[in-house]
Amino acid sequence: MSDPTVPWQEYLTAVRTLQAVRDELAAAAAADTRAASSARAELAAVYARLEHQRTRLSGDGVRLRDDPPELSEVESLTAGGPTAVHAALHECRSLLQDIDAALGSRAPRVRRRWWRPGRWLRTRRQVRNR
Amino acid sequence: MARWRIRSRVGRAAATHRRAAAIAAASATALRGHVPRPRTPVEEQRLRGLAGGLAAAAAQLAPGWLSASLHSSPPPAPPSALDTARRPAEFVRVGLGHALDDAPFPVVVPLGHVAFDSDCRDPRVAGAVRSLLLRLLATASPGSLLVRVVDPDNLVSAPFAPLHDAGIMPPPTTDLTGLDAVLTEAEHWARGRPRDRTLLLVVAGWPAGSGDAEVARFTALAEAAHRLHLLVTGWPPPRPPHPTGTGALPRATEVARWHSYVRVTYPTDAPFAMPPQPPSYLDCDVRLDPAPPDDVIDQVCTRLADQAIDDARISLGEVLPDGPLWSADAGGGLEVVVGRAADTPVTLRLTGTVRHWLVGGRQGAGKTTLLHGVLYGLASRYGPDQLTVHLLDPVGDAGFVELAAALPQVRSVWVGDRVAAALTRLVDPPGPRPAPAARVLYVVDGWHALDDALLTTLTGLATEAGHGVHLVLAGEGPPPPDLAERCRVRIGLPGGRVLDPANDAAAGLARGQAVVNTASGLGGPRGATRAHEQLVTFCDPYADPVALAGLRHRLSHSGGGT
Repeated sequence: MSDPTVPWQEYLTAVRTLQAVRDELAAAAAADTRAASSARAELAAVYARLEHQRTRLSGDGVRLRDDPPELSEVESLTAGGPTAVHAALHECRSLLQDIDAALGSRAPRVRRRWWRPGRWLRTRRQVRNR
Repeated sequence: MARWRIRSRVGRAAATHRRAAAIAAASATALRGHVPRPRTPVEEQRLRGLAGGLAAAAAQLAPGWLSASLHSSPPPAPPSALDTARRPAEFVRVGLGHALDDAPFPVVVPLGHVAFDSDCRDPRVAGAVRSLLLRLLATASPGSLLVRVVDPDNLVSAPFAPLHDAGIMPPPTTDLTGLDAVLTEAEHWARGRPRDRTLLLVVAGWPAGSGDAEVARFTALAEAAHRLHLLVTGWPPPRPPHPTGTGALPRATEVARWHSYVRVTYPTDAPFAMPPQPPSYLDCDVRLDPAPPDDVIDQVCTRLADQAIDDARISLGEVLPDGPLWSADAGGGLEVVVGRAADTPVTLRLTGTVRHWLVGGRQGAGKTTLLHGVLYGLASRYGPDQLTVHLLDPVGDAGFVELAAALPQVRSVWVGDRVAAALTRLVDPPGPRPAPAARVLYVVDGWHALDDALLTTLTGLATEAGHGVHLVLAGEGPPPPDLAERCRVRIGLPGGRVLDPANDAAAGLARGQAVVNTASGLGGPRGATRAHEQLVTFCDPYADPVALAGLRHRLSHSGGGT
């Protein structure tokens, strides 16, 4: 073999390039995994709020289906992997705030309930116990 | 009005809730089916291209068997003599890296040294060491690579046994004493004159008791090495107070376990080094080469051994006199051709000033073969009236009885326990002495089997022997000092210790070769031409049975005719 310096340098250069490419791909895969993990955590929080709001709406006589008909409309929002899911959940959080705002504006109805007999009796008992 | 507004808000909230619930359900579905993003075709193509480039560069750096797969089907044919390297290997493959699962490339390392963090009790390391050893042996030009192996548990060297008798790779060292001897030889090698041969020192495991001293010697060797490669496993060796070992081997490529793979770190202080910038290691799923199939190892080793022995062999005719048998006069001394140095016959003498010879070599090194060749040469040159021979065989495996039947000059043969009585009788023979021949030669094959009393007797014989009495003494291990100092001619065979301890001329001899030194084994100044020392290829008289049968017939029947 002639002078091995040149092929050795080529070998080392290729080694470094290979490692750089592999690092880049590994970083992208790690980011993808992190996004999925974060989205799962956020989804759990969203479900908790949805359930809470569902209870409130049921109290108002609204009956909600388990399979909302809007499902087919929004499937495209989550088709791009964890990043897209993350964005969709961001929109979902905004909607939840809107719902809270809408339901929270019915404060007078809540005030009207203060005289209910049970509440009145509890209040009287508390006063007496002092 | 208020009730209507409330209903409207609740209705809007319900609609918004349905959309939010739909998004949540879609998100849950998307996350349930999520798999990590696969590589794109463009990315895969790029990785394949890089693997191809690495494979091409590796093929240039380590051509042929230095980087070829040793597990192909059918098994690869051993390289022929024409295919072996014209110059020593500078790179060798240790395993396969993977840019993708189906895009491997050979991982080559510079030579240099290689240090594995596990020893050969890890089968992956044992396989890689066998593979490395076979690649280097198979591609070295004949006689250019000598191997010494430290293998306490015999985990690596067993399949290479055919090389033991060829002088290429003696049996492995298993204990601390042997390790010390191997290190001493390597240190002489590293300090000695520039050589055209390379010494490969393989440590497959550390003998019990290895410690700081051995580590320091290896470190110094690694720094100073020239034409010396260290292939060390279990580095650094555990030793108090460092139960897990510390310190890197200088100028060595490090191979360390990393999950199910290994991590290869190139040296930054060697001729073929990796620039000292991160990453300093090869991180691409490197798997070590498995052990080559035993039949492939056997095929290569047998070929190398046969070649080494064939190269060393010379014919019986080359050591016999040109003229008629028994035509020489022993009055001035005995002389005989012991072998050939390059193309020149080497003649040794037994005279009044050079009275005795000492021959040393390990078991199987060829001591007996050398002695038989010398005796056939002497018996061809000097008739029974000129030469009387007494043969002593304390070990009992020298074949002297058969030899005596063919040589009329042999007066007596003593084997085994009878040697003790023989020595006493020969030194002080009872009754009238037979008519003395011009020269009397005592040949002892196996001084190492004599006890101290017999050695003293033998030393006395060597000291007090009268004019015309000569001894040729052969044995293993270091000779008794008193005996050695009476023997100016020293013939060192593989594993022999008859030369001066500082003289490493006999290191790495092949079977059939000997170093003939006529100055009590002294080496002389480094790099100087040594007129008193020659590398000799000696004759195996049994290699050509037809020629030998003819000679024996003439010796026993012609009575001195041609």
